[in-house]
Amino acid sequence: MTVLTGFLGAGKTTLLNHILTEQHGKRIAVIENEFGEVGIDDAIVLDAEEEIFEMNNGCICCTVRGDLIRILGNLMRRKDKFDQILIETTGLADPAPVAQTFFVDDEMSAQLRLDAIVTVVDAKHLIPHLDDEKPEGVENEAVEQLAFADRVVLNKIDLADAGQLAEVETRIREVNALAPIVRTQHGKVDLDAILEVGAFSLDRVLADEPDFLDPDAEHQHDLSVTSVGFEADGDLDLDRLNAWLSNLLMTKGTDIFRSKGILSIAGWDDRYVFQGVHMLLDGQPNGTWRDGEERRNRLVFIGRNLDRDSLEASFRSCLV
Amino acid sequence: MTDTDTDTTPIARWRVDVTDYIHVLQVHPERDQVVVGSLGGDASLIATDDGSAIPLERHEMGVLSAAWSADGALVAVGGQDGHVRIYDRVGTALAVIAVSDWVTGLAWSPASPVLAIGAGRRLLVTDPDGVILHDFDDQPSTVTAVAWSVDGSRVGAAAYGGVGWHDVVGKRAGRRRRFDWKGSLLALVISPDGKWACAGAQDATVQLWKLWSGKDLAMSGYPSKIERLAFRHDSRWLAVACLGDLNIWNFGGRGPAGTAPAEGSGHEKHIEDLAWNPSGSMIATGGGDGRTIVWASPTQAGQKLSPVRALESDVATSRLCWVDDESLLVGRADGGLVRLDLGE
Repeated sequence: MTVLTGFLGAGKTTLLNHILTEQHGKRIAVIENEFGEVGIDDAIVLDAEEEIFEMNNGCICCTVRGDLIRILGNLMRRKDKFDQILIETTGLADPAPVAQTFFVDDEMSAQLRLDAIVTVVDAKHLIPHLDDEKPEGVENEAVEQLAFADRVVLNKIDLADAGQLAEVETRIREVNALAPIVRTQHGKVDLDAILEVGAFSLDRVLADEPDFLDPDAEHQHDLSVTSVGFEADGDLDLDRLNAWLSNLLMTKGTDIFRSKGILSIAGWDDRYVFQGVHMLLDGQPNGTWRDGEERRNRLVFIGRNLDRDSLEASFRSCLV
Repeated sequence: MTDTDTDTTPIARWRVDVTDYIHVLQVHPERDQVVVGSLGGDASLIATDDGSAIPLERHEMGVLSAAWSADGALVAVGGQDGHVRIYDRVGTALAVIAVSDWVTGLAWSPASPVLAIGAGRRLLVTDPDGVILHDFDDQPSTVTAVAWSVDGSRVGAAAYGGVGWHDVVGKRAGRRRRFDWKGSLLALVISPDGKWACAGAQDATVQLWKLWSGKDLAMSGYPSKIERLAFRHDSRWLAVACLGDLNIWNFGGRGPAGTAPAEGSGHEKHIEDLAWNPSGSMIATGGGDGRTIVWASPTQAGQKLSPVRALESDVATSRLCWVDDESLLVGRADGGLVRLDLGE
C-alpha cells in the first residue's frame, strides 16, 4: 500500500493517471477524493471523503482516517484482489492520520502493509511553499509532507534549471535526509521507484543511502524539521530500551514525525526492526543477525527540534 | 463435539453460492426466507428449507445492508452504489431510492412500514414507496448504523461522536437529542425491552445509554474495536464479540455495572458474527478461522462458557443466522451459504 501526498498543483493527479495507464500488468485500487467510483481498465478508483477520527481521548498522535478503515475493510474482503492500493491525500492533508490508520486498527495492520509514503513536489514551487510563514501553532503542510516521505518525486523538472534543481534538492534534504529523490517531468516516473519499494524498512533505506548514518556526513540543523540518524555497536537492555523509547515518544511524539530502526537486543538472535509515525510504533523481530555481521544498532528520526547529541547519549545509556 | 468440513457433512442440508464474500444475511421474521448480499454486489432472497433463490438487482461494488420490515412483507437492500431497493417477498421491485453515499445502515420501524436509511452523513426516513418523510442531512460524521426505538417513534444513528436520537413521529417529529461519545461508533443495538442503546466503538469500548434517563455507562478494557453485539430476545443478556472472544453481559436486575461478563474463548481469529437462537437457549459465533461455535446461553455473570458444538471449515465464516432452534445458516468469505442442521 502506497500513500501519495503532495501540494495542490504538484502533479499528483498526473502521476496517478500515469500509474493507472502504464502497462505494468498490476491490478491497482486507488482511493482518492476527486473522481467518482469508476473502473479504469484493470484498476478501480474509489472516492473517499476524508474523515479524521481521534483515538485515545483526543491525543493528536492517534488520529486515524475512519473512511479508510471502512473502504479498505470491504476492499480486502472481496474476492477481487488488488496487487497495489494507492491512497491519495488532499493537497493540504497531514499524512500522519493515513499512516497511523495502519498502526491503530488491528484489522488493517494484520492485512495490509504500508509500503511507502510518496510525496510529490513541484520543482518550481516547492521553495516558496517551504518558506511560507505560518502563524504560531499552524503547521507548514509542505514541510510536514516532506518530513513524512519515504520517497520524494521531484516533478516538473523541465520548468527549472540545473541550479534551481540543486537548490530544491538541498532544501528537501534539509527536512528529510532519508528519502530518495526521484526526478521526473509530467509525472512520468519509473513505477519501480515508487511502488513496492519496501521503503518503510530501514534496511532498504540504508541499501539506497549507505552513508546516511555516517556521523561525519553533514546534516543541516538550521531548520526546525530535520533528520537525525545515528548508529551504535553493542547489545541493548530490553527493559531500558522500552523505557527510553516509550518516554521519548510520550514526551516528543508530537515532534517526531517518523522513526525507523534496526536494533540489537541482548540475548536475541533476531534483529529487532521498528518503524513509527508520531508516537505509534510498530516493531518485531525480523531475521537473524548473519554470522560475522556486526550487531550494530541503527536509528533514524525525522522531526522537529531534534537534538542529535542528547538523543544519541540517552540511547547509548540503554546499551549493556 | 467437533465436526470437520461442515459444508459436506450430513448436517449440511443445502449449500448455495452467492459468488463473493457474504456481507449481509438477514432472516425473515418467520425464518422461512433470508436476504443475502455479497461484497461482489449480488443479492438474493433464499428459501431456508431448500436453498432456492430469487435473484435481486445487483449493487455494484457490494451490498452493505438489508432489512426486513416488521410484518415481513417488505425487504430493503442497500449498497456501496448509493442505492436502496425495496422488494416484496417474491422479489418484485417496488421502489428505488438513490442517495449519493454508501448505504451503511437500513432498519424498518417495528411499528409501521417506515424505513430508516443511513448513508454518508445523512439519516433518511422514507415510506415503502421511497417517499422521504424526514431528511436529517446534518449528521456530524458518516452514519455507521441505524436502529429504532421499540415503539417506532425514534431512530438512532451511530457515527463518530455519538448517537443522534431522532424523533420521527407526532408533534416532536424532527427533534433530536444526542448521546455523545468522543470516539467512532461502529455498531448500534437497542435492547428489545427498549431500555438500552448499546454501541460498539473503534476505541475498544462498548458505550451504553439508559434510554429512560439518558445516563451513560461504558465497558472498557477490550483489546480491540467492537463491531458485533446482540441482545438476547428477553434483553437479559448482551453478547459482545471482540477479536476471538465472546463476552456476554448480564442486563438482568440492576444491569451490567459492576458485574463480570460470561466468557467464551474458542476462535483463533476475529469473530465475524454472532446470533442468538430463537428461544435464546444458545448463541452461535462465526469466525475468520472458519469455525462456527454454538454456546449454551449463560445462567450467571462471570461464568466460563464452553462450546456445545464446534464446526470447522476451511473458509472463514462471515455471517450467520438461525432458521430455528437447531438449524443455522452460515455465510462464508468465498460466497458459500450453507444450512447446518445441528439436531441430526
